[in-house]
Amino acid sequence: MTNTIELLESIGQDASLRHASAQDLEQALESMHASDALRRTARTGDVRHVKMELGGKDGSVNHNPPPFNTQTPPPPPPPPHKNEQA
Amino acid sequence: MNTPSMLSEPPSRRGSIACVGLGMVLGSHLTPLARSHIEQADVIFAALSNGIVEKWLERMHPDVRSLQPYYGKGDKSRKVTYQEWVDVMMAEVRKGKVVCGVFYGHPGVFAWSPHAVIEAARSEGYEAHMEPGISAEDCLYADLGIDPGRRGCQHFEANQLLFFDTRINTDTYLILWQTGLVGDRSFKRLRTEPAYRQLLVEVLNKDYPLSHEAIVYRGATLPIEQARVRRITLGELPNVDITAEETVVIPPLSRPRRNRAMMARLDALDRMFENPG
Repeated sequence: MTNTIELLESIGQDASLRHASAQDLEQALESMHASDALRRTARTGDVRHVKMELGGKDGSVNHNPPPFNTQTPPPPPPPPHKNEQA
Repeated sequence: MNTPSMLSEPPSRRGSIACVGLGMVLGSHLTPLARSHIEQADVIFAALSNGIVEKWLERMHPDVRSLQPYYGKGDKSRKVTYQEWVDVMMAEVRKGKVVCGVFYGHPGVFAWSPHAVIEAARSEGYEAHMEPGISAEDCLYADLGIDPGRRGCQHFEANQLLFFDTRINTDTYLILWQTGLVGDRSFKRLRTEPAYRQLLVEVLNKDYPLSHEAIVYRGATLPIEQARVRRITLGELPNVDITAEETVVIPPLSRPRRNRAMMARLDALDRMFENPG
């Protein structure tokens, strides 16, 4: 069985495989001696199979910030003192 | 002139940081320069789209430290997490290490920590650099066949439309990020209920009819996946399941109106410069 990460990297760099039909991809994976999980993922589109094979480590990351300006704006300055107005 | 003692003195080692993008699809998008930053670093910090991509990164460097564990389990604001990411990366920079922060997509697009850590490093006199990557936005243009230069394109984090009075130009594409967790003010949740999206639809409905098209898009992250594209109406938006990774695209509603006064002024300039004298 070929290393799954290695295979994924190869597919990601191969123009004929990256957008191949599910059938063509499955045939290619078979000839590359891909794991059952990877072949099942290619067939069904369900990436959980390959995630499970690689230790079940998922954890998609959301590193987007909240909008930067969510703080309550500062209160308006106090009205000027009567003496200052004069 | 250097004295022998000065020549024999080893150069003082200064820490540095580079924040690089890994792109969106494993194996497809990593630039040669980003890979070089990764390979030449002393330590790698990683915030990636999933654990599989993280394992790929681990093949490029022996010391990859995931930033994933800093997230809470719904009990910790992401604002705290992002600051912790900056702190942990800066701690290694201050030790004199060559640090590389690896982020999925583009490290500077909809990402707070890479900008913050670069600012912090520079303010302390360290070298800091950002290397762009292929972002979700780039994939979206390719997968949906949108050229932002044709009609214009507005991008908002979806909350911006709820938290602030935001003017929308319906002549352009409107792209809303993180719609799946719109309305979350705790910055702890990874998803919000349909009622929150209903408020977003109310805001959008001031400018667009409920029958207007909305495209729910998710780019691929593994090379055996394809992008997921769902075409619905704006009115359906609260009732479809939308994850945090999905983006909502609202196509243009109106056509831009020609600015006749400015066209007349351009005509006058053309006459002046095309027929001088």
